Amino acid sequence: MLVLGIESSCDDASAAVLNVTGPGHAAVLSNTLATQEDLHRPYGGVVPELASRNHLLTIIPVVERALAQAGAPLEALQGVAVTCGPGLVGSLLVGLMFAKGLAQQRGLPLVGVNHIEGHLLAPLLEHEPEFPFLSLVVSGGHTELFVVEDLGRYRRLGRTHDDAAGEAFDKVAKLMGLGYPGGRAIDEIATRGDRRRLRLPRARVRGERFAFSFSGLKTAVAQLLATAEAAQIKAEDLAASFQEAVVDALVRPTLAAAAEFDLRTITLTGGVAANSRLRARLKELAEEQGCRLVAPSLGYCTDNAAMIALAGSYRLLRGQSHALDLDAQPSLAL
Amino acid sequence: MAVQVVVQSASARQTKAWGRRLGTLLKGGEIIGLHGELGAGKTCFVKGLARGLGLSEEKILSPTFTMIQEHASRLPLYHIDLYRLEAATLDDLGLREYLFSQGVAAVEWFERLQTEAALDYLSVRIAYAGASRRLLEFSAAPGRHQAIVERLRSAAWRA
Repeated sequence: MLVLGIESSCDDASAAVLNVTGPGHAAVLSNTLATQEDLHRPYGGVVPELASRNHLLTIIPVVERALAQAGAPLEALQGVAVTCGPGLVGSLLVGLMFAKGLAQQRGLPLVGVNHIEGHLLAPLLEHEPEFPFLSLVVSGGHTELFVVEDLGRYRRLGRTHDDAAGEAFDKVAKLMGLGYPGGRAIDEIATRGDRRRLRLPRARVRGERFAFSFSGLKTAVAQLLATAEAAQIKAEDLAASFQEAVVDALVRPTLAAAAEFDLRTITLTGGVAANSRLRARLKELAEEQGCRLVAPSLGYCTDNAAMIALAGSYRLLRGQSHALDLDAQPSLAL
Repeated sequence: MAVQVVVQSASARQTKAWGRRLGTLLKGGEIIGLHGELGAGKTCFVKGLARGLGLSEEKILSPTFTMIQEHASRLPLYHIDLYRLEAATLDDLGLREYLFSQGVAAVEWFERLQTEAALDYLSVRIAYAGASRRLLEFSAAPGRHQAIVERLRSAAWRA
């Protein structure tokens, strides 16, 4: 079954064509991306209004490119999967309206996909599914821990109570004058710093073993930079110490959950999965505990349409689809 | 004359408690402008405010990424964050609709909003006074928000 996937929930517009052979099994024929990073850089983050206006310009070319690269004419498509939430409402609407128009014109079944479900299933784009597995989703907008029991069966164990991990990276990078996106800048200079040079807090959420909190860490860095000693702190050491605190705060609940629910496979997805220290540390400690870490290739960790097509396709295979009155849902829960 | 009251908070918990007190006093149509450095406790204060409106505070996450988060409670709560804008006007992000509504608009980094005429709003300024200690200053120019500040002043006497 040839399925077109469309993703536009934030600042990236992406389209992909998958050849789906069974539930959770697919070959990616194309996965194209129109990124807006340069557009948002001056603002230190995504500006919703700019993102949606730009999607209007790129959505058609990005789909055309996906079809061309896959060598699939429009007539060959057998279903359309599109992100319908959560995300920025204006951004979501561009992809959704396009998908609806296409579905109606071609008489194709349309399925709306939860963006987080896409991230949870992204590892299946490159690996055999081995349910159940534990999934840590970390990005600029999300920090959540799930048990993926099966296709369509997800249990959220915890999430952040304040800032997302990627947001903490961006804010601390801004405090340090490192620019945007902050995660990459911190990761880079941290390799030359001392992770143990500064003591920074690792917050725990009372009564919730698998929840996260990064607001206190951000505050601690802000206060540290406001002290008289700040001038003597090397940026590399601060970056490394801060990064280590974020990594610890992500890794500890994840490993505790793997042990508690006896899960042997841990997956790591979302934009922050690009962080080299997080990948290395989680892999090291997971293996010590007898678990295996599966992190998709970078292009499948960040927002992409291939994961959306995959997450939509098992529903399409079951004959499930949405009516054309499907709406964008900015705070859609999974 | 503007009215003003300054209270001390010794912890994030107390900051939330002040947010909650303010939340219980709101009737809809208020604009709460929050000022304070990164990490001062603005989102923490809004968590309390949400509780005062009958929402669970877990629902309140940092709105920096999405810029605006809407919550349905006793009154609609529009949690807005202008952190990522150097300067905003009422025509950006559809702010006009959120600020002049029947709900409550809680706006972090309010100083980044530039308007031609002064807005009638309740200012909450949070300043560092130690590692976890903060000073909270509530103030309002003459207008509908002054009565709320007066009631917070009485609460400060009792607290």
